[in-house]
Amino acid sequence: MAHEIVGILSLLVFVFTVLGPLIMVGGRRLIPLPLQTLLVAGALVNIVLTVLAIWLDGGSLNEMLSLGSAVGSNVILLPIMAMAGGFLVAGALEGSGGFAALRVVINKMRGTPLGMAGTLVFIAQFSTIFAMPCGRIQAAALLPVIITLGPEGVRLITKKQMVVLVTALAVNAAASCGPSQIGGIGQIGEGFLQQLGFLTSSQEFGIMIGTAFTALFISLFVTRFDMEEKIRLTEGRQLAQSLGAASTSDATLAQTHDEEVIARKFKAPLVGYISLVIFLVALIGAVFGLFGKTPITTTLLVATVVIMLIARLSIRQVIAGIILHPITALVAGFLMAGSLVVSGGFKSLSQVLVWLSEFKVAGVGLGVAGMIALFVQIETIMPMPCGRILAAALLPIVVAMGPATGWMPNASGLLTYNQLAIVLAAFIVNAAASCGPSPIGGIGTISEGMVRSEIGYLRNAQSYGIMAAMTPLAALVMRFWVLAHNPFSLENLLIFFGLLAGIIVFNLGMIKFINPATFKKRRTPTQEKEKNLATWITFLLGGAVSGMVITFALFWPDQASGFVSSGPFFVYLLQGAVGGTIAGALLLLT
Amino acid sequence: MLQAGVLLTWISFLLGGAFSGAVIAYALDFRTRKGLLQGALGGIIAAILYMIT
Repeated sequence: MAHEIVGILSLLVFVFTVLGPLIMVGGRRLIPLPLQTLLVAGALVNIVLTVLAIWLDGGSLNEMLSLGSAVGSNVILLPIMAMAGGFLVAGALEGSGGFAALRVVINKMRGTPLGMAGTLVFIAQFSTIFAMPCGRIQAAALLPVIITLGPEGVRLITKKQMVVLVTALAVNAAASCGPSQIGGIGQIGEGFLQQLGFLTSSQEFGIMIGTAFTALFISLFVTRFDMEEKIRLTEGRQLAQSLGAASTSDATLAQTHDEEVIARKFKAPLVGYISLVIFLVALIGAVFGLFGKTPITTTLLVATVVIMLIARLSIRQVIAGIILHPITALVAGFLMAGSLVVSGGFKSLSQVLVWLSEFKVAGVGLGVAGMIALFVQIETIMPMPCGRILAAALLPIVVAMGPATGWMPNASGLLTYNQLAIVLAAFIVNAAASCGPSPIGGIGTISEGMVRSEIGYLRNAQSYGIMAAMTPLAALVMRFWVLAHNPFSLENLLIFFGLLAGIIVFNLGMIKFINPATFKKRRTPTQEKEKNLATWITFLLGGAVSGMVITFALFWPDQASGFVSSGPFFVYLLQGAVGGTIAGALLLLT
Repeated sequence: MLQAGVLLTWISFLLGGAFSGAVIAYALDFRTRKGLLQGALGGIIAAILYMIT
């Protein structure tokens, strides 16, 4: 009995530690402590509660003493080491001038047929192309490019373009640690599924399209009034052409001057280019298995050592690349998960999830479909500064819903292996991207600092892109590309491209609807109200459609691909829509 | 079937890349035909690199 009560109490401790820092009172955070500190403190509280429960239930001293090792054994070293390996190679690249070389290459792209538009698109998508274990690495490498090109640099891009670009970059960089093959969050899920790289393409496709919708959302969301009042980035002189230069030669001179400034800013030593090539060879070789069965971490470490030798780097320069934040986030998350295992918190949570799936009002309930549609969005609903914090604690629960574990007898068997893979792809891309819109130190706050907007101003665009595009598309791709028995069957193609087109058309319509004031020339008294109402409607409908797509991917029957019919499909769709709508509402409320 | 899946992945990534590139270019106020095409091209290159790396 005491164990059951402690299970519920430890779950409450977990919810409090996660939600506490997000609650603002009078403009200040209710608990102004780093999340990692809170999670470790929460884990300690849970252990003390468990000791109490053992004592009350007449357990032995040995049982109490073994709790520490039981919690510690939940800290999985492999993702931590893979992440540290990724950070070391990032440190070597920074120290040797590899990132400087990258900036030069990107800058040179403007002179190719890609032009400025194609180059900026490439910058927005870049972080996930060469995904690092933490998106902050790529963001830090690319931000100097944007600052230099921006309104406070050589003004090749305008204030609005900068706002759109940094928002898209933030969500892409944040999400990039999901599919990263060098210590990304996805690797934890792939470890559970025992297939390396299994969840990569689904996440990447979702991120690619989600980044575009985020960019479009913020482009239409920001009115010209907001641009003047809420974005305090200064906009200096315009390009000579736009000022109406006295002659063509004046304009050419100004342009030449700007290019010279850029060229002076972006320089890289030869060894930087060499180290960049070494990194790319190591990354591509590791992903495609060109080096036999060598673990990725080993490949990365060898690449790091080679770069160190060529660039004559000191160990200190390489270690400088390690960002402690994601590592401590992962350890704190694992410790909290371990404390929930021993205290019975996971068992209680499984009961809550099962209760949620069975709860009905007037004969209508969420069901498993609605519960999953809500659960996969939970990390963006409670956005942490690093997605790993909750992912490390919650992934065991997702896996426990699958067929094999039996850790949580209540929840076990809710999903088949294939359904579990779909849920993991959607959950992980959502988790990874959630550090973009986090108001408590997420990557998005760096962007907000860059354009000097209010904290949280860029959040809605990112949250919508994650909820309405990244998450459902990851589920869709997982189901109809990766798990399909015959991807080229007419039915499969029609369903996949039909749903893809449906999501695209729906979201384009919703984003157009988001801000009625965008196209107005004057501020109207009801403008903010109209905008708020439109935002609510967009999030609720976007959530509903997202939930339906995820449910479709989970329950559409196709025996050849291992999806058997398990109940009334249209009822599931409705339940998914309800779960998604609740998720949309919670996204705006938190 | 595995190769069919890979081919479908490539086709979808290229189409998705072109679409997302054009949308980002539009969001960045490059709304001429040339700007949208350059954006789509950037998106296609990004998609190819997504697939390779």
